[in-house]
Amino acid sequence: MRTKIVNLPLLLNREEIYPFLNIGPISGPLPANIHRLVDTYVKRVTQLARPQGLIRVCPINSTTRGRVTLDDAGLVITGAGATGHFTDCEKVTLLAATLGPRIDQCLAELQQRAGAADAFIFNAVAAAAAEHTIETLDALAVQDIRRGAYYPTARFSPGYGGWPLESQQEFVACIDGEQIGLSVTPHHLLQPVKSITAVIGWSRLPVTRSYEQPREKPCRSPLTCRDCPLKEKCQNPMREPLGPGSDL
Amino acid sequence: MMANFITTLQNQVLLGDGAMGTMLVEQGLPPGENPELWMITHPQAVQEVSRAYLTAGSQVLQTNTFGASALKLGEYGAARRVEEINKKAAQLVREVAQDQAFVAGIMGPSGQFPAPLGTLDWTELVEVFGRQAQALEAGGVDFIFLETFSDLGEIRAALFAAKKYTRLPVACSLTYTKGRTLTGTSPRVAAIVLEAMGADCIGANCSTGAAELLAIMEEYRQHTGLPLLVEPNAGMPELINGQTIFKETPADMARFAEPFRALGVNLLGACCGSTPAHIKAMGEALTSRQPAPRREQSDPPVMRLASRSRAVTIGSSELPVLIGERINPSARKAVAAALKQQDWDFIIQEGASQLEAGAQLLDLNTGLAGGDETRLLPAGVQQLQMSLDCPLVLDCTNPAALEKGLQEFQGKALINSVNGDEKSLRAILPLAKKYGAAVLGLTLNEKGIPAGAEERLAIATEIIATAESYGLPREDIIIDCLVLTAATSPEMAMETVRAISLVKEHLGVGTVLGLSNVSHGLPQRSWLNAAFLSLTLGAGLDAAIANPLNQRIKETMIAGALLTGRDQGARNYLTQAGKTAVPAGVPADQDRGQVEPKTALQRAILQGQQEIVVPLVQKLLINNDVLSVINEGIIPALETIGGQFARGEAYLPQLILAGDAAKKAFTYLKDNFPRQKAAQGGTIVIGTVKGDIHDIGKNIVTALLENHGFRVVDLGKSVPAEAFLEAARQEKADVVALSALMTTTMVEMPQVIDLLKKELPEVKVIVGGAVVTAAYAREIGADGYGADAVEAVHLVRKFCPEQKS
Repeated sequence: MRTKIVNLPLLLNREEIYPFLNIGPISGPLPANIHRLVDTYVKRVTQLARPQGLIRVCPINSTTRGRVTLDDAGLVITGAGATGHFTDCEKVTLLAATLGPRIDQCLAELQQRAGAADAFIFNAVAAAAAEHTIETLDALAVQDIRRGAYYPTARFSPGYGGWPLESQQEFVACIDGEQIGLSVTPHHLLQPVKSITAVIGWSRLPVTRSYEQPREKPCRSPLTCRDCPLKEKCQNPMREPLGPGSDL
Repeated sequence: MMANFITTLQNQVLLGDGAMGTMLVEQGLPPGENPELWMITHPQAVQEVSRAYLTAGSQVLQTNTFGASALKLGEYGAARRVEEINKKAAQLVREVAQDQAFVAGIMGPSGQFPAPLGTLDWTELVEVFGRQAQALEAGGVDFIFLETFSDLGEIRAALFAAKKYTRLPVACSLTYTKGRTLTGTSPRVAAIVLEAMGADCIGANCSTGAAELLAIMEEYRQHTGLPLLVEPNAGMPELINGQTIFKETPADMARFAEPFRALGVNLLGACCGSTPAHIKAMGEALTSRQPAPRREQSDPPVMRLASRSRAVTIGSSELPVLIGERINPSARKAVAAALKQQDWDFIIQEGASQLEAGAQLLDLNTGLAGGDETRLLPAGVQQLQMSLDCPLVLDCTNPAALEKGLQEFQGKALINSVNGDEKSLRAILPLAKKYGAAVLGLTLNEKGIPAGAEERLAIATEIIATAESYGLPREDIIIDCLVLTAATSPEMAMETVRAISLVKEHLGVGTVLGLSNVSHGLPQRSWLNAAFLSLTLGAGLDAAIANPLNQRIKETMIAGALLTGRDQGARNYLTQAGKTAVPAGVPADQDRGQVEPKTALQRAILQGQQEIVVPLVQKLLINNDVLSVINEGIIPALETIGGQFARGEAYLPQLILAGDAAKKAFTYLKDNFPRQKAAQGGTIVIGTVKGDIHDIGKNIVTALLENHGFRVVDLGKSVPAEAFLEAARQEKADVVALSALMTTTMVEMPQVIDLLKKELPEVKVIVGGAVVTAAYAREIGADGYGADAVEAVHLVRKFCPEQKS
């Protein structure tokens, strides 16, 4: 199994954190007290996190409607929303990223000892850090994909696009998640909590990666609004129009 | 061979070529095929591409060897063919170029990362790149072109290898997104590090298009005197009518040719998606082939150091720099113990706390008695550079250990130290040159530390002359005039101050001082350290190796910088003094002067100022009872912020901070007036449903409910249905609140609701959480749904109408 392990630098900037603070369309600078807390927890998260990632490239064995199987890997990608993205793909890159267990420990401690605001802001910074980590890993994978004269598809994760979260277990096994301390709870959630798994397809034809157009979709989700499970609740006025066929 | 490539480049803007991969696809490269292996069987196709570029005006033609390292070819089972492929590729292009164009031997990233990011060690990586570079040289290329690298550590190893194994000039090009490489390097840092490592030409390629690269090249121009190269791509490809189209047309790309030349670019080409038509248009758009004039060397010289992501400068015109001294096993037992056990977390923490206290560089000394420095120093370098982003000072005089440390450090380090002894100079200076490091020179020699300032100046002069003879530029040398302890030689301290003045005046290099020696063996060391720091700053000291955690040192450094004219507009002084610590535009806390106490309390809660809430409550209690403090001081503030949040006029963190402040007030009242019970709005049992371990949202709702005077029994996360029932029964709950973040866990909600409805039908159940919707809440029979914490409070209010005061 050719899984590549990478330690990743964490170079968070403030703008990456704001979306996770649930900061909506209000313009203008942050109030001073929030600014100070964000500063404190950026430092804390940067110190505690040990961002690591795994990358594995697998050739696609077969693609049928709603089901993508891979060579030499037990993982099966299912769900109409997810598999539709891999129609023109020959390979996929599997990614897993984590910030390590110390972030979870610190969050638990803050919840015990500090106020809700501290825990909330720490959690937001850590979520931004996890997103930053998977973005870096994504960029590494995409470089390889483009170099091979393929086009990267959008990034997809178990739990989205009809791909059940139950696949998380086989995903983590397939990428040898233990190497970076990843495990899955009986309810299919990743541990450490600030971890992400995802898959990118190697397409023969150019495809649009929706999250490369932040002006149209300012949230950090790698999904299009149509595929997003939070679409019904999204308050973002800049949300992509869902268009005809929307179930809203 | 043509005229020397670099000399030509310095005097003329050369036109490069464009994309290889997309052109080969047009020549018939099948999908999924390795372009380098395909070339061996289709040499004429590759030559066709080169010929097209030559005809278009390219003066530099690239080999098709981007992925021809042993590691990349190894992915196709062809690692052993490195020599054959690279040599052949070079020969093919040389045949086309003849003496009409230079041939660039292309080397791309290995696809692996050097430690600490990846698992490859330095030696392995250097061998991989060295092998490829040698084969390209054998095939007749004019220079090695390292292209599309995104990690400074990797390109540094490739540059080192190309320099070590060939006699060719080396051009280095990184790829950028939003002004940084993937692993955080800016053009400024790349310029500092690659220039010191001996690069002959530097720049950027690929990235996200020409427009973004203008800013990147401008930054390069400001920070290097080396020739510059740029090769933008032709935008991101799109599929239009079944065809792969790159957005930037030849005319689009041509618009950037002159602006790049004006920025001082010497080699202008193009990357992915470009064609000979792009190159032709770019060539025609150039109004001259004269390179734009470049920057003058700074005077006085400034030492530039860098980590992978941060640059630090030391010099007379800069703020004096504090170098953290605390990672030193001979000075601190805790550090010795940590190094012995390889407790790197402790060492990293030592580094982090010094940086937080104001150090800009960290001195790393791993010279543990009985320890193996050749192992500890590189390990320490790896650990620190993974977690912290400052440049390092490698405090080591063991050449073998130092070499390993320098290999691992992916930036430009400062070596601490050499001295006037010829043996020391001979052992250390070549390492500094080889690995692009700066050097700290101690004014002592085999005879010891001279007493007089003039003798120390003489040793410094000797060190600089020898360093320059090894090819180190003067700005990469900094002199430590040394201080003896005042316990034994108090009369010598001022001699050090005089020596600093002399070195600054006669040699013009930077000066540094290991400050803490002055107080060795004496009590109240910080008195002496700070006083001596003050004296030496007055004499022109540029950097001090000291303890940044000592407040006195830190303050002396800040004040000294202002008083010696190094702090323009007192900007640093004012920031450090807390006067401008909050960035401009951030609203300052409002004046709390003559405000009515209830309004002041409301305002404090609104602004989340926990620390002043209790004193304000105490003040209010002089003339008010507990209930009116709550109803007229605390609750209105919570109502206001809740309303602002609901209208989108306040951020969620502000709402939570206000809640925390209100909680302080409630807690004070509850603790101090237990008999006058605060208003109790009812009892709520809350928890995250079974299987869900995300509880931040639930905790916010809990906090807000408590702040509104409700009694909240928080069952925590992943709570089974039976536990909700039991708690609701025992606590006599009015409302049970369920939270779930995930679609997979929200399905637990109906089970809890069914159980509660069956056993305790009078209890209201409300639900919320990221994926839960009003429709879902109705569907599963919940009594209410809160889209956010404020709505949850309103719901609970609705269900607990009777205040039980």
